[in-house]
Amino acid sequence: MSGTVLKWAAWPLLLLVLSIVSLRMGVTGASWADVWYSLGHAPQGQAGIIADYRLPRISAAIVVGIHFALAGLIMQIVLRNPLADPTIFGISGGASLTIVSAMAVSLALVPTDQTVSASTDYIPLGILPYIALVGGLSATLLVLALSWERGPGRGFSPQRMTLTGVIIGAILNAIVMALVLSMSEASTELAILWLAGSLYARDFSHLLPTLPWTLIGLVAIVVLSRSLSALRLDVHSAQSLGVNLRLARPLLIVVAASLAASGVAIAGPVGFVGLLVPYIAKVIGVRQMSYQIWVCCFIGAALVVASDTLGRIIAAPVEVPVGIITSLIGAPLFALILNRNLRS
Amino acid sequence: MNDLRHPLVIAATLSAGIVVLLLGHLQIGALHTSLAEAWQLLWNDDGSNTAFVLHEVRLPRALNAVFTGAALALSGLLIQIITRNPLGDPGLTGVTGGATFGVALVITLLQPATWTVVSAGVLGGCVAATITFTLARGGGFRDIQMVLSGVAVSIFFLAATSALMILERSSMQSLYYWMIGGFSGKGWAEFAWLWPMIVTAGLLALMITRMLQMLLLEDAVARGLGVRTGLWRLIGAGLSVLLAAAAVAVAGPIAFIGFVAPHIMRKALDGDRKSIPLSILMPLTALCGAILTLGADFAALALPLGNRAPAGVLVTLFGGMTFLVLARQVMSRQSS
Repeated sequence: MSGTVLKWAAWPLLLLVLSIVSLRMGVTGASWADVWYSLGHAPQGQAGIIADYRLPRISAAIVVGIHFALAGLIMQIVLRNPLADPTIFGISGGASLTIVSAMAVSLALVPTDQTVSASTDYIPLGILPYIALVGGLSATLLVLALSWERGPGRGFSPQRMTLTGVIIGAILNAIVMALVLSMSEASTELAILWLAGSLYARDFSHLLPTLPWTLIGLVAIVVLSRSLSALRLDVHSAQSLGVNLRLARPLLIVVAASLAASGVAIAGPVGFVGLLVPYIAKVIGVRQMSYQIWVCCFIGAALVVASDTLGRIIAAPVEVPVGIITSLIGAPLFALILNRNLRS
Repeated sequence: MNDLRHPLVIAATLSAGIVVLLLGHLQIGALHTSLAEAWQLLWNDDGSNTAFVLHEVRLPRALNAVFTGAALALSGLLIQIITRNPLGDPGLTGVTGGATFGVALVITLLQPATWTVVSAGVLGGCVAATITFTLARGGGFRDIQMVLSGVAVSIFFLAATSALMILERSSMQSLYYWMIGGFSGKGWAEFAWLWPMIVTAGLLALMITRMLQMLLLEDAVARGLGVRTGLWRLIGAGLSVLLAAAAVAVAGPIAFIGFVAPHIMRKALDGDRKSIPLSILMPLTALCGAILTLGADFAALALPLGNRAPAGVLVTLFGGMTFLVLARQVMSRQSS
């Protein structure tokens, strides 16, 4: 019994330790005493930085990590494709396109002189996830429609689907780049940072609008976990377990797209988290569905927190956006999974 | 009807198209020039502003586009030959990504001379190509696997390039613009080293077509005929990387031309005929790449996108869509 408790409790503990370490790290030095103090008292001095900047930022990292990791997990199971990931499949590309368009439109309609620290601050934060969802979902549908194969071997070939996703992503990215160029110089820089996937200057005001999305996403995945579990089997076995595939699959894709899109709304397209996390869980040997979801949440959060911390300290005082760190880790792993997948 | 598919007819059509686009290119821009005026000024420089713009801005820009396009197309064709993979393209095999990183690295770190920029590009491209081909070798350069390996390599190097861009804020704007790919502001300085490089590499490729043709056979057959397949693959890959890196150094990472141009030409030369001699396919592919790139740059100027209109975006849009259509056909033809 205690083994089971430990198994479930180990992951939150890992995340907690990482977050506390991350609170201490950064351009401005802080001692452990500062970290400890800021958690219990009214903040001032160094402790103020920790409470005002680092704590909200780490919270954002945790939420973003959970969103992308769960989106990746769902997509990999539903599409039966170990290479599936919101970034590779165009969800992030579509969400970026609609958000950057909204950014360009709001800039054109309401030119402001005020300085903003994240380019999404131009748009009311509450509607950002919806804007992202429209783009993300359309891009996913486009990828799925284009990679559907007719004829006798009808269905999806994982590799062809991935290739289509990559190409659609490239096309969307080209449009986004052109849009960014059309903006003024100051906003170009912000948009570039945003597009790299950055948590710079994210605070609770960015986080609160996505909170309902997180909650609904978590509830949905728990409710649907039985279907998700059955989908790991082949189609006939899943159906014989009483899962309505026609309903479950589209529903799960919508859940994945919503999670990914609201993640993009907070931090921009943070690449490869959805690819990396389920793979790590698989390597660790997690099989049971509910435990897999649990582990993915915490590894996802830990990965983004760790990558963001690394990005903050690796070239201080300049920050490397978290999305670049995750891409640098994720791309080689993508190649590895690709090769493994073929050999088996 | 068959006469229309004769290589000479196709070559003449493409060349005529390039000339027409070149003339159109000279005419278009902020400073409006009529066609007759442009033609006049092209041959007699009367010292006016218009003549200056024509000679120093528009003409070199267009010529850069022509040669970059030809280089990318040839590079793609060479990759398709040496891997026997119809989805070959310098962008999709990571070569462009590696070259981009190399170029960006020296631009941000040094105040580099031109040859340093190009060599850094070649070096980066070689590293990327080595990684991709090593990864893809296990699968025998199979269609999608090679491309997805290349995409992984490409994403890695592009992420590293973005990191450079963000760490070195002062060059962010210019690097970002270069990373989109385009020809605005490219002048005679770039063209001066671009054309000899591409002409040399192109002629070399043309000289070894007989050997390259053998690579399209089964490896065992080619070796039986006394062809050292490994060596010629390596030479082909080297030329391909050189061409792609030169293109990247001038115009930034422009994707898909290398994939699209050879396939359009194969279609134009009658897709049914299994083996089109490379000595014919190669020059036509170069012309096709040139006209596509010049056309994209022309469209970028003609569309109301502002004066920094990027040709790279239009190439990616057109190329990506063509890729989706063609890749489907190419792969279903192979599997049947």
